[in-house]
Amino acid sequence: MNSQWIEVAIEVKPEDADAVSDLLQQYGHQGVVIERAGHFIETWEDEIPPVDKLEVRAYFPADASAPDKRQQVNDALKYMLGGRQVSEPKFRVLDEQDWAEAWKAHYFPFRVGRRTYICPQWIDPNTLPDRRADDVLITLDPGMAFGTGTHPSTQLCLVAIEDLLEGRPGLQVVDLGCGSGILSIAAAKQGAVYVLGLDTDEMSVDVTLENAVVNGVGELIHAQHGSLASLLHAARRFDVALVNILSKVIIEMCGQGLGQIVRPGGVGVFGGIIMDQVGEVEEALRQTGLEPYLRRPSGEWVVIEARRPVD
Amino acid sequence: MAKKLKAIVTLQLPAGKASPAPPVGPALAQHGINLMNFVKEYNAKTASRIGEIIPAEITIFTDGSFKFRLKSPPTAFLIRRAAGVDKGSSTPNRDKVGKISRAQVKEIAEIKREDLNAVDVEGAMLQIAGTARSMGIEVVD
Repeated sequence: MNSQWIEVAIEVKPEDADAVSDLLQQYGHQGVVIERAGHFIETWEDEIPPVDKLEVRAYFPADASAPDKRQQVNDALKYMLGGRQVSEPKFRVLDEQDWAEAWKAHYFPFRVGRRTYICPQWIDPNTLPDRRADDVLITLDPGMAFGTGTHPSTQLCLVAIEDLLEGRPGLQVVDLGCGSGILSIAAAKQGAVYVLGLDTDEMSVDVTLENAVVNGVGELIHAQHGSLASLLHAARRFDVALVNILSKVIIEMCGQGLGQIVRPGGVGVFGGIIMDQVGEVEEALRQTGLEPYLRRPSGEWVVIEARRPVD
Repeated sequence: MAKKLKAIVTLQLPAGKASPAPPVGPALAQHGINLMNFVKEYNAKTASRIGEIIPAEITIFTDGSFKFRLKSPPTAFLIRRAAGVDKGSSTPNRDKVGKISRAQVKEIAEIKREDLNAVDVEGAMLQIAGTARSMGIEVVD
């Protein structure tokens, strides 16, 4: 991970934004930003004034190649833009911490479902005024991994976990695409005897393990780098499979035998699905031997629960 | 109901591959946006178009809420893809790096028409052809 980035910002007329952004696409990390110069508008949505100046920004790592890239951007601008009126590119060094901290400032404790209570790690849960004895408290430092608990799909999965695990201790659970570990922790705190968290992102595995320890369920959660293929290879089956990823990925995994990781009589919880993709996902679930029996909607997001019939 | 705007930010990102790293992180965190929500939704909506650059126009309101809409890929990206080249010419007047046909220009104009100010496809085609020339890509019959 880079600890610092170089930001290059260029002010342009709206008609030149495309050309400048195309140029910066070649040097920037994963795309560019185009924003009204001056940033803040403070006007009503239906009274937006015409744009007279835009700022195009791109970012690249502040590593050994940064001075060369900076020179290349300067040269390319000089050659490509010719007579166009654009500002001199402004460069500045940006700490990765700057925006990570900015995000934290907007993250507050909140309730989900009947008794799940999500609390950022940097807030003392004992100071929460509405804390109840039977709360399932999850303290979380989402870091850069997915799963802050604020996404409707994650919240629907948390409610599903409450419903599926209540009064049924001792279940074995897999969390495919564990991200921050929020769903694994919820399952472990509600009676699961074994939770396997898998993610193809190494950072997510580390974050899940750290969050599991912080929540006192480090011994129940086993997070590791891996995917569906590793589960199928080991012929693992679970009482509950949590798959909060994306429709496209779920459909692909169905074609690879996703249903086989759910034991007969077990349940899969599938999230990250937009409303108009429900039919396609449900059909794929049927094809892999699961029977969808419940849709949990929230806004344009849906979580589908599907059961594997007893053989 | 109208809401008060804080900012309008357009992110040109590779489809299905947005992450909290730059440019998304610094662009959105400064406005207090739940950038994880944006990343997940953007990836969900663009996952079937891997390989394309899909801009997202994000409208951020003063109450912390936001909405976004996907726009058509940037004109320059569509031209480069049609011409089969990685980048435009650094000296477009002198050095040509590729060619696209009028039919391809029309195809791009159809894709871009909603996002351009052109009154009809012919007007959009003129804009596309102009952009192609500025990239050192010839338009041929």
